[in-house]
Amino acid sequence: MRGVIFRGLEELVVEAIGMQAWDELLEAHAPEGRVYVSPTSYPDAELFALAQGVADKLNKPLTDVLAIFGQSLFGFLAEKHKGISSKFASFEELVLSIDSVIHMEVKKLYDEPNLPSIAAIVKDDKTIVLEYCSNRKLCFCAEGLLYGAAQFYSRKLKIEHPQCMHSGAKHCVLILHLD
Amino acid sequence: MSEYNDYKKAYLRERRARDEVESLLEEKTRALYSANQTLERQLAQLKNQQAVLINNERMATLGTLSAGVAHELNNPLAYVAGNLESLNYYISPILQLLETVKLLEQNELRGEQLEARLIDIYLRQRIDEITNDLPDLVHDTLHGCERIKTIVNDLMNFSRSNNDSFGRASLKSIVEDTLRLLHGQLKGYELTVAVEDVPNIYCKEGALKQAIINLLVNAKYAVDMSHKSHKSIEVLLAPGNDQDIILSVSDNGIGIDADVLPRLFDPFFTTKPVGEGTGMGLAVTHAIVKEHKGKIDVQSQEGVGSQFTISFPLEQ
Ligand SMILES: Nc1ncnc2c1ncn2[C@@H]1O[C@H](COP(=O)(O)OP(=O)(O)OP(=O)(O)O)[C@@H](O)[C@H]1O
Ligand SMILES: [Mg+2]
Repeated sequence: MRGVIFRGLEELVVEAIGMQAWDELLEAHAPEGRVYVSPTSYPDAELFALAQGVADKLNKPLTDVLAIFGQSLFGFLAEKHKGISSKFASFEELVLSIDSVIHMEVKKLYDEPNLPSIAAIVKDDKTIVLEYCSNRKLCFCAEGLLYGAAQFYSRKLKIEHPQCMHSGAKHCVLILHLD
Repeated sequence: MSEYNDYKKAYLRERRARDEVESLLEEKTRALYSANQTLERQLAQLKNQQAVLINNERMATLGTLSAGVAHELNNPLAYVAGNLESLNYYISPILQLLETVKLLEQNELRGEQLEARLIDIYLRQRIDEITNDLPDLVHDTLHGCERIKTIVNDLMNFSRSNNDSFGRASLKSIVEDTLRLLHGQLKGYELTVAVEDVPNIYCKEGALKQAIINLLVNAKYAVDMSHKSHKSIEVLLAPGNDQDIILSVSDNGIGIDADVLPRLFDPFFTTKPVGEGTGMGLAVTHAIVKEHKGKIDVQSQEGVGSQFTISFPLEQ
């Protein structure tokens, strides 16, 4: 997983529970002397361990933590990459361009082999159906990112998740209901 | 608590510094990526143009070849035509004989009548000559047709291999085919050919023929320019060390001025008078050799002659 994602988690943890908490998490779950920088990749397991650590600290299920993380991650990334986030005029436009524009930009910067594939189909002007597929199975995080994006564009969003890789499906189906 | 706040402030400042460095890095990476894309596009374009150039050159070579080939065809064609003319004369006596045989079979001719008729045919037609000539005439005509067929085939093979692709082939037969193609143009030159059996290599047949033709045409030109009484051109094909195969074309022509040696393989470099050469021959040859991961070298002495040596790597 890219360092920038760890960096997003750091941002959230320091904001929400403090600098010391982040330090403790690193002590407990990251290899000795680890620093996370954006352009480098780190083992996925470290991210999961850190997220699990956050869940333990807050006494919340991991899926909740991933959702919250995703949500704050969107704001963090949008701020960091204004050039890209400003390309999209609306939430819908952004969602439809995840694969073709956003992940393309990621590939330009890093050679990242594990990007999820996301197919978006507009059902009607209030509904978009997303198919999410990734060997990391971070669908809850994706949900969080989508909520973050909706917030960014001041839209009200509800996500249904009727089919999930965690229950054996080949890919997740996320149905986005917009106001 | 205030100490903690101080720390946090310092931490946040450091973090901002790190973020800034990272975004700078990303900016550069993005620029690098787009520069790289541009370069790749240009490279593809260049390769494309090179392919077009090689193709054009092939067409030009075809033009040069066809003059020689026309000449080549003329010779067998002349004797095939001559032979057919003779055969045309022989038809009438042969038909008369056949007619006589038929009459005999139908019992309409016999005894003295038959004898008189046969003697008449024999005396009036050159039966001995026909008997003598006929087998040779037919044989030579067939041979002439074969020759024409080969020449046309060679030419067609060459022009058809326009978009040829890589495949395993024998360098020996490529060299031999090419020499046959130029047979007419190299008449009157002392041509030494020593081609050994070498392992097949992965190559583009048409392109290699083109490269060899370019070298031979240059050698011929250099020899013509030198006005020596002995015009010698030598083609050698032999295994090099264990890793490569050597093909060389040498001549005893005018040789090459040391000053121009470094520019010899440049596109459009030519010492021929305006309107005579395009200067693409060696550039294309060089490109073809490169495409085969080979090397081409030249050794030359003014007034003495030149030798172009290509080495082809055996399978990587
Ligand atoms: N065997 C040779 N002996 C002497 N000079 C040579 C020989 N081969 C090539 N050259 C020199 O190299 C130049 C470039 O050769 P190249 O085959 O590229 O072009 P060209 O023969 O001039 O024109 P083209 O092949 O397009 O008709 C020639 O003009 C000639 O000066
Ligand atoms: Mg030439």
